[in-house]
Amino acid sequence: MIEIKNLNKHFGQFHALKGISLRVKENEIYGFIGHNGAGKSTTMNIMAGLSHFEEGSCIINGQDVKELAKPGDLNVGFLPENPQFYPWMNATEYLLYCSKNPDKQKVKEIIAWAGLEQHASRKIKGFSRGMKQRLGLAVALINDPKLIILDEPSSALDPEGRSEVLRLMVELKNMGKTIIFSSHILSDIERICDRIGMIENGEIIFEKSLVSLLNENVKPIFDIEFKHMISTLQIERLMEHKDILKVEAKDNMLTVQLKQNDLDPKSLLESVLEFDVPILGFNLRKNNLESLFIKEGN
Amino acid sequence: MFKELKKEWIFASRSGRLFILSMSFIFLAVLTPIMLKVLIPEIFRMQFPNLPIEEINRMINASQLTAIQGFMSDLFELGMIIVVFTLCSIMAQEIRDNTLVFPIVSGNKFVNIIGSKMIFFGGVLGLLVTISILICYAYAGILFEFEVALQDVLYAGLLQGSYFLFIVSNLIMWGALLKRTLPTGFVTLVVAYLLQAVGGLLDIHAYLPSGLIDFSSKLQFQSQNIITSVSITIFLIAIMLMITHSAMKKMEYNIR
Repeated sequence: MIEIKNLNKHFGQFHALKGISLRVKENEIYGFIGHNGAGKSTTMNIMAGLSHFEEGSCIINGQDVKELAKPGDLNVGFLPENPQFYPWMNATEYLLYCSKNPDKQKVKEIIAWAGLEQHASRKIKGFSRGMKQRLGLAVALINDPKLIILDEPSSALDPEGRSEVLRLMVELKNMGKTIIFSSHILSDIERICDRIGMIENGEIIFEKSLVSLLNENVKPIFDIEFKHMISTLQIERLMEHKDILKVEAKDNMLTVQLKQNDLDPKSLLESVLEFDVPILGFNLRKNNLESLFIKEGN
Repeated sequence: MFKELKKEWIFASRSGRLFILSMSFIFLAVLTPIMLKVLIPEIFRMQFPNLPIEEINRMINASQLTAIQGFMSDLFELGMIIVVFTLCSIMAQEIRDNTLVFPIVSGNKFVNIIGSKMIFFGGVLGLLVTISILICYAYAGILFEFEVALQDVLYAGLLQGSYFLFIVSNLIMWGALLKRTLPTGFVTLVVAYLLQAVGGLLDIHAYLPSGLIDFSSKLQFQSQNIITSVSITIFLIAIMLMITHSAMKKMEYNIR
């Protein structure tokens, strides 16, 4: 679906993309993460045919972006980070304007899908940020593209709006679409992505499936709460456990990081029971991308 | 190109630009004959109280012809500023505000985007110029007497309208190159006034787009000279549209 090889781009003296290569397969949701200014939007602009590059190749839907007569020939749906519409148009007029084959019935259906039926005849200048984002998704879909590129689709939204946009994205995947989307919100990426690519300073640091990424890089952490504080001696004894990588103590809480993912927590539980202090909680912290993002970013 | 033309119509009507242009042109068309018939003689009477009224009328030389010529002069001096600053955003702001991103990715052709602006605003200005010249013609005819042939007035309207087509193509091209609305307006005005000045000083209006203004304001048409000026104007418009198309193809979109 997307095949990018050794992509290089400069903005004046600034080397924005330094040999980026990535691959997005059909009908997957690909999450693109990275700090501000890392090169996510530049890469996505190139994928949408809106930006040029000096070196490398970018093949979208089997078409070489460099040989395009116009960006629209790629037949991709694109939602920029800050979608800009004509504020004096209403949603129906705008979708008709962006349609390759204007069809009022189809526009009506897409407006309903995006949950904007009540606002179809309202001028876009009166739309909230969330409504604009949903209209942007509708515009990205209007020409029935197979590939949809979404740049920070949920970043500026409240939790309800974010959740709605994520739900729509999963629906798009179920409709057979391929989606690549960027976000700072790692919990969003974790919720819906099949594969992840991380970009830093214009370079791809890794590109893996979410499951293997978490298994390989994030060690399980247990939060254990006791009724009383644990002594230093007891903590030192716990550190001698062969599977434990790290122990941190704060008040009556212990945070224990294990060396491997597939270890049975039973032996850890047995060790802490030996303290003979009542245990109030024994929880496995859910693996998340946050720690990995910070680790790789540094 | 129908949907692009419809979009320009919605933009022009809902943003108030069509209203501003219509009102300005009609105001100038009505004002010029009134100025000649009422205001200027009144000012002369106040300045020279002892001068007989016949002498004042002779000095002013007010007629339908001078009213129409005065209107066309206002159209170039005042109308041009109104047109340029009302329409300087038609291309520049679209690029600057990234409003072209969705239409371009959705498959709208550059040719259609440029062409619709050219056809719509060129057509609107051509129509407004012709209508306002006709208003001036009729009103001045009622106030004075009908002495100018309607055919000549329509011809003058056509030439002035063609000149505004040249101005619109300037606004589109400079907008695509500069990507800023006010500089686009100022550069277009400089081009228009510079052509007028150079054409007048070197007496080469016949070889410049400014010839369209010069011939139409005299209401005397020598076909050979007009053909040269019209041909050069069409050539320049075509060049400017090609430059715009090339600039849009090379442009980076969705830049923050």
